[in-house]
Amino acid sequence: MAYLELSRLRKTWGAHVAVEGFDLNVEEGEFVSFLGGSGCGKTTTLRMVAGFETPDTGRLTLAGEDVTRKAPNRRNVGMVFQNYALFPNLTVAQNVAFGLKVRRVPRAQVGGRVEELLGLVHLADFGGRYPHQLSGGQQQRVALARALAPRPRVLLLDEPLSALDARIRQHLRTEIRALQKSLGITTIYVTHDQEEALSLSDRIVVMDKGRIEQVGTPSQIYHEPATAHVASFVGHLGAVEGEVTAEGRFLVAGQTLTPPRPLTPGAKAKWSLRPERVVLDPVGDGWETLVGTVQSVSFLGSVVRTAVSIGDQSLWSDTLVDPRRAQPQVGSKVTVGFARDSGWVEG
Amino acid sequence: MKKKLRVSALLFYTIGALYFLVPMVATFLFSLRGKKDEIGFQAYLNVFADPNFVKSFRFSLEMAVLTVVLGLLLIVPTALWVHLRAPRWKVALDLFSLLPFVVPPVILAFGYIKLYGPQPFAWAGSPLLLAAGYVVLCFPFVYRSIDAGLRAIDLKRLWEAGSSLGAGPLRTLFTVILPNLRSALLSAVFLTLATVLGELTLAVLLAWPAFGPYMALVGRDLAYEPAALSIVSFALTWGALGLIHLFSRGDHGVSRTL
Repeated sequence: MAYLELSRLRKTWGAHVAVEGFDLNVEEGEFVSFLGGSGCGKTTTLRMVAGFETPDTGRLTLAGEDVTRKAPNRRNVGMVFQNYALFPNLTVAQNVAFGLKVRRVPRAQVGGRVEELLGLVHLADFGGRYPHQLSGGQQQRVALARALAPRPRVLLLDEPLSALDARIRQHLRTEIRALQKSLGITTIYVTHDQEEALSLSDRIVVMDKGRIEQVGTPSQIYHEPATAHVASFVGHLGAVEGEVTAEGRFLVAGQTLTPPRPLTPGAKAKWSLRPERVVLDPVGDGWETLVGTVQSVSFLGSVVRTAVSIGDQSLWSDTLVDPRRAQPQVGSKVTVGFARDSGWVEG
Repeated sequence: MKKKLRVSALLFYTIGALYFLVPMVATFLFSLRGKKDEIGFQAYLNVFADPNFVKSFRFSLEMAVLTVVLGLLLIVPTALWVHLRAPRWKVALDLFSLLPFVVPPVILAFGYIKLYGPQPFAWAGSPLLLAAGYVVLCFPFVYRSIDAGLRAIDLKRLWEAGSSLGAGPLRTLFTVILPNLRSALLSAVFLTLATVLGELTLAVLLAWPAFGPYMALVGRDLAYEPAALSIVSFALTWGALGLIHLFSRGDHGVSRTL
């Protein structure tokens, strides 16, 4: 039996189905992310775990106990909100101590625990300040310390970094993961940011329209997406659409490719490819190739992304930046190549 | 252009100030003439020496305190409930809170007498009925203060943060929500005090020896003392407003910046 079990959860708001058929087992100490666009049901599911929403049907068990209808204040589940939700009338130390005082932890121990947690989030000297005297990143670290102080059974984070700017976001992301690992706390992290989900999680749950699309490790989600939606949501994806010839080959803009499996002759087909799997002017054998025109070249730091138009469609190709090599010229002819088994062919 | 704007602003400011200050100063000067051919505070001494002044003021103050207690007990939980659980009722409550401005107190008083006067109630003689009427009259001020206070904090998130940390509803209410509504609650309290202390219609119609009717009576019978009384009640009102300002300065509001 898993530590946290979500079985057949369903939640509706009037006629709108927010979450449907949600099944997930989370092991103790695991870091699981719910990833999806807005309105996909990820936050609603998290709020059901927190106890802020009650599922219409389904069951939630935590450490073997059925908590489906248990009040949020009796679940011992820590929560970190997107907008911090620190208590403005209390100091940083009082905020962190709040959950301990509620649980009637002896005063002598409260001080020590508060110090320990403020140390963990690198805010040891900020105990006497008020939330409004801190930056956004500092406030969110206080919120994290406050949620962890009463040693919750599960830590829930609802888009905790989306109100912060990019650099702090990355920094705090690493801190959250390090803290989670050192404490070994079971964690559910809700985000719409694929990079966050990929870099933080043991497992990712990709959601769309209230349903789970795929559950898997970051590598599985990225390299073996179960659906086209998952593939397009996680990582970048370019695609060419074409027709299937009488021999079952893929015809696009007058050029033919050999698909990894035979396709239905006469049907429409689509070949989707990650930019890093598409090579410009490939050397050697074994490539599926298409000739096209360089449409645009964008410098992204460590890689250069080239858009190549093939007929009226286009594919992306990412190449690692090499200052010694000339960048492709817009308007020049170029051959793109990719392995037969790379990408996803539908049709 | 900028200078012209400043000059016209100053002009309007002066006109506004004169509009309020001239009658105030005139009343004050008039109130100092209580003794013939002498400038002094005789009228004020007369007012304070009148046992009815102390009696009616004390009665109104007691009613004001009762109104504050009843009003907050009724309106704070209602406003919280609407904000947290039933936001669709907010519009109805907003409209409802304007009723005391639309329906005059005379109608309220006669309604009370007609409904609660005869058996089985026979409450027309109870001070609670007067206080209930005051609660209705103060409803707009109390509700709007608290509503504004609740809008200024992220009530729902704070509430959820409290409960996720293990706090029950009462604990969250008293340690998290109410402290962050301090200035809203204070303004509700002082606006209630100011309203009740000067209220006339309900007190007269329900026949209570309140401060409002006392002021009206003095104004009818005497010359200098009413002027002194208006200065006193003006000072009380402004004192109350000053206290709101003073107490709310210590607020650690979310919106406050360093």
